[in-house]
Amino acid sequence: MYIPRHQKTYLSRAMTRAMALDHPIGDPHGGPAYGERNDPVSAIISIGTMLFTGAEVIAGTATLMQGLMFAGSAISLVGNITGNKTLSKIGMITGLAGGVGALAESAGMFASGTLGETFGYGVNSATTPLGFEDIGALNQTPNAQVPQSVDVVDSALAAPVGGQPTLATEPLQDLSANFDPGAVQVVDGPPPLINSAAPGLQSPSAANMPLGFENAGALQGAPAVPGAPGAPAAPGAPGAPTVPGGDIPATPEMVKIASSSTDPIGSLAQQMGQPIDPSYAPNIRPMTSGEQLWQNVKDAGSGVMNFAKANPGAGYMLGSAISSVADVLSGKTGAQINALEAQGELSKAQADKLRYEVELTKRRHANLNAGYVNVQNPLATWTPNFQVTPAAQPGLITGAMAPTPGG
Amino acid sequence: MEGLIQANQAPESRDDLTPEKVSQGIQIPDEFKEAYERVVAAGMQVMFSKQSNQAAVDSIQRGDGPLAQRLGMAVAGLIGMIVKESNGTVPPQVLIPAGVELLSQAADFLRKAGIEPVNNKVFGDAMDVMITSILQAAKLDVQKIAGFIEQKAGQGGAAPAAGAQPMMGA
Repeated sequence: MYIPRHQKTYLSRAMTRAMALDHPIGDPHGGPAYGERNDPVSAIISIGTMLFTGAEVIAGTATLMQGLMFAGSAISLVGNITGNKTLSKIGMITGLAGGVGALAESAGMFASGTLGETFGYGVNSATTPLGFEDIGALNQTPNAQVPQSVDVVDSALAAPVGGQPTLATEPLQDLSANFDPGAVQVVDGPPPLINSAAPGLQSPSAANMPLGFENAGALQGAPAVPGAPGAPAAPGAPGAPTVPGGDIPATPEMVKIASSSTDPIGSLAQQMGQPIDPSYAPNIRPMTSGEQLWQNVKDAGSGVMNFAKANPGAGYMLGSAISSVADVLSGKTGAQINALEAQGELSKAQADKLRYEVELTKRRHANLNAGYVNVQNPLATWTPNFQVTPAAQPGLITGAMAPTPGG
Repeated sequence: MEGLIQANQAPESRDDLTPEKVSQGIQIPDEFKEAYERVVAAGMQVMFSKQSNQAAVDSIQRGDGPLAQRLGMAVAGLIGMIVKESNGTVPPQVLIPAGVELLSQAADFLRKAGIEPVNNKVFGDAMDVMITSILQAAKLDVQKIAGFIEQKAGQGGAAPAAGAQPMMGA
């Protein structure tokens, strides 16, 4: 049987802080006075801050990159607005022909293994990177030997323009429903299979398709045939547009964005198929008073509420942390919210009352312990501020009744 | 009037990048939706729960370097903590989107509560730091990635731009 020799008691932050003001207790080389905090909250935070300093390595580089693609539009949006070129470039991965799959071709970019090993697109992706058999079907050369280092985009571009490609899988047929022949022009070739701006590429169904994003991107590669009449100028070529204020060659999508509007948020929102929020109007929140500050603090929770509104599954998880917010998010009406607020005010008033009574009781107890007369009796500590003359010694009443001179 | 004042400011000095605007750009497939929500909810619990909110704010305020670095590192650390606490069960696909969401929420909170002046520039730099930190944890070189994406985007006759933009603080 194991008997612990030492039992440690971890203090709260408040106690730790209070003790840190004093001097080291017990351990002359550590403890609160040295900034050592072992309470649970500090432990969690310290785990979080220490983790990414090299102690932990995230496995699955390609899957991580796929996440970069999911957030690509947001990253690109932030990069364009803030002028952060790194974010702008990384965000372009969403519109990149081939997506993450294109990155797979880059040997040596990733330190651990090949990207295909950890590709997150399906079971077959690990052994059959990028679903080459489907590319082969499009090329009408299903038995062709496709080298492992083949450039997927180029493979698509290399498709015989005279032949009619065969849709090999059902998901591709689904994507073909979004086909917009007018969006691209390829001379003497078949119309492109998939609209380059097909919104379904970012949809869950697109994510579930066996071919993955890269294949869809490969199919998108057709519109990018450089030099084709009617096709947009090759990005980076002389005369080709670039991103305003930057040296990034503009992709056709970016040209479209730039030409549609000068408002980066509005145009990007259009590209994403999202309605433009009319509340986009900039707003300054001056901190003029404590009341305003409190209002802003309350507003700070609005983002959390909006997130949980958009993601109901997260509501119950947020409930334990922000219970009132979770209540609101659960679909309560305005009257119910008002009732909750009133209930909160009532609870607060009751708590104040209780706190007052507790304080009163504590004071009574203190008085009893210390002796009421000595502590609370104002006469006990009252010092007369006048000189009592011997003539007044008989007493106040007698003295007062005594005839005054001249009276 | 206030809107007019901000409209005249440079985009990076404004503070109109709200979590709602950023969230619109995050497209999570259904298969990762639940994991994404769980990670974000867990992160919000740490950031905003009564028990740990003050500690989270302290970790941002008392760190080293400029505000953007402190904010980005704090959110990256939060993501790392979630990864560790989940024993690696979180799909890596959701880490960066969740980090973007959490960062926008944290920035919004700091801004509205008047704790730190987080404008668009600070927010962008913080996102830069956060993404770089997460990618570095996976042994990924963000400069190579950015350069390669740029090269691919300019494929078809475009020469890649001369090097990727240096990262903040690098």
